[in-house]
Amino acid sequence: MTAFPASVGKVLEGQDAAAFPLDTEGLSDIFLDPLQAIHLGRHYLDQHEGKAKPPLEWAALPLGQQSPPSRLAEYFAKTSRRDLQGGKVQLVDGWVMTPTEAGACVWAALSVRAIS
Amino acid sequence: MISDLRTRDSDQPILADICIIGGGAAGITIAHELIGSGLSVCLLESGGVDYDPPTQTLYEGITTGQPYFPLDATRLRYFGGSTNHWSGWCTPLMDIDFKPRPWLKDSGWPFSAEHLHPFYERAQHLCRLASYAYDRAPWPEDPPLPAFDPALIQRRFWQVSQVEPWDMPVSFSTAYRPALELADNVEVILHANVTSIEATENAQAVDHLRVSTLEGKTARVQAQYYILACGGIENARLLLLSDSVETAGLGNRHDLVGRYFQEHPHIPVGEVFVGSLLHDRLQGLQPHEHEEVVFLAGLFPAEDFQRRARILNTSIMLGDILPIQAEHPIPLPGRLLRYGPGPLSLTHSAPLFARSEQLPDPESRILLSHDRDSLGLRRPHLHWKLNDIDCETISVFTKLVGAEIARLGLGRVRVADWLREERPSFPPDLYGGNHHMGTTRMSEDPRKGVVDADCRVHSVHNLFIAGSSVFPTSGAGNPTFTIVALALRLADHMKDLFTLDHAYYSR
Repeated sequence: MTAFPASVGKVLEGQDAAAFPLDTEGLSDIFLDPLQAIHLGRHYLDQHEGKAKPPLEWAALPLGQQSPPSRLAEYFAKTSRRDLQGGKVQLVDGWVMTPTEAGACVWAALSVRAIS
Repeated sequence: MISDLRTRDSDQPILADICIIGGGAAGITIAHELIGSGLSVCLLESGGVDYDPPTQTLYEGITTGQPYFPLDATRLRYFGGSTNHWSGWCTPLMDIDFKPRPWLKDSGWPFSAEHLHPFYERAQHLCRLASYAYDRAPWPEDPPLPAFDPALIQRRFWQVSQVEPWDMPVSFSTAYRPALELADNVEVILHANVTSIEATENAQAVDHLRVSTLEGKTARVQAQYYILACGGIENARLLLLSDSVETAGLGNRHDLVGRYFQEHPHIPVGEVFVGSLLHDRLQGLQPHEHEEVVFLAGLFPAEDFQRRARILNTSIMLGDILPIQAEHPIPLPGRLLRYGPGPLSLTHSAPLFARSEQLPDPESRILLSHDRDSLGLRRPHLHWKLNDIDCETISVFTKLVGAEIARLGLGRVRVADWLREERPSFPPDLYGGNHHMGTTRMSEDPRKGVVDADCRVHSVHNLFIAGSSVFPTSGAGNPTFTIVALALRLADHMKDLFTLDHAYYSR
């Protein structure tokens, strides 16, 4: 069972990332290329260290300790499309992304950081 | 006819109904339009018919503020003016460019785009362009175009003429000199530099002009009406130099002459990456030749979006769409989320380039420097100033284009380094388009503009101004097409004036 962080938004506000352990096997259910997602998420965190506001949709993620990856994958895809309809974007390493994509990448990076 | 002040008899004043100062796009258009009008027209040109270094040095000046081109490199001082080296890009300003925009101080023209459209249509012919179509492709089979949300983004075209034998944009010198040479009622006088516009004692009219060759031969020109058509820098400079009656410069009672200098900031904004086979969907944004004219497509923010985002007008163009090299230096995020939007992988890319409107700002201005040119006249000093909204406009629109590319599942945009900051600021390599606008701006209110809606200097009843210096705001399109349209409008106005004058004196 993958354990997902309850509120990564709070992590971005300075809470201890280690409080959110992760089993990485669920990442490939969500991302086509988990390594790339982690890379982009790390880039975002590096660039925003100490001044980060979480990507817009991030705090609203319906995460729970028991959320299955399939549910999250579905949620990410849906909100990402909704972001685009609303024109919401976030820059990560210069790439124009949806806040959901950016948030998902940050979440992936934080999760890996938590278990490393 | 064409004469030369160096060899012309100058003992007697040169007399004309209308004297045009400057033989560039605006001056030539007006003179050409007045051929056969029955009015005597004199066009004074500082240079000859070819490039001449001593004359060109009269354009030297100093620049401060935002780095800018040397002032003698950003324009040409001989017959034909800057049409001797222009890129030829023509597009009308958009409807919104003429409207007062509450979020932009000092915006709004005294008339609408609709008023100028008939003149744009006539300018189409003078600029040797194809059908009058700028917001749609006039060819039967338009290449595929992404279905951008029309409330956000619209595609518009520039047209560029290709004149034989070199397929270069039309030079107004080459195209219209023969007709002017044959005209009975028009005299083009070469090597005639206006050194002063002398006003009457009450400064409510121009009395005469003083002109001089570089060799020091002088003459006096008297006309019923005068049209200043020397470009966005020189128009202001000549008014400021003409201070014998009004010490702040002619037409400068409200300290507006030279202020509101605008350019079109030009800058790379990033790159668009698209998926396999999807690059065909961007063909509608690539150059297309039709009726021997090249159509260049650009993306512009829709009027609604400009209003909602409170930005200026701007444009983004794509460069060539090319396959991405196998050894690309960075990993490319195609579709990141397994079930998310976007192509699986990114296979082609094209650079993105912005050309943008600048906020009219009175502190961005032309002044007189203390250096003098070889005629003894103070050289121009350009202080180019940009504002946060100029940068914000490009940043917001680039991200919007990125969002739309992603929404349509085409690919992704990666913005340029300078746009990645939370509050971007322009990098040093920003440059302009050699477009000098706004320095004798148009307004019905003399406290807000140098010229009125007829392009007449508010306080000087027989002095008119042609050219981009009268633009109150500058849109995102290149200025020459609008310069020519306004010049045609002014030529019509001059004919009307003489008709009215004739009717008055015949009573």
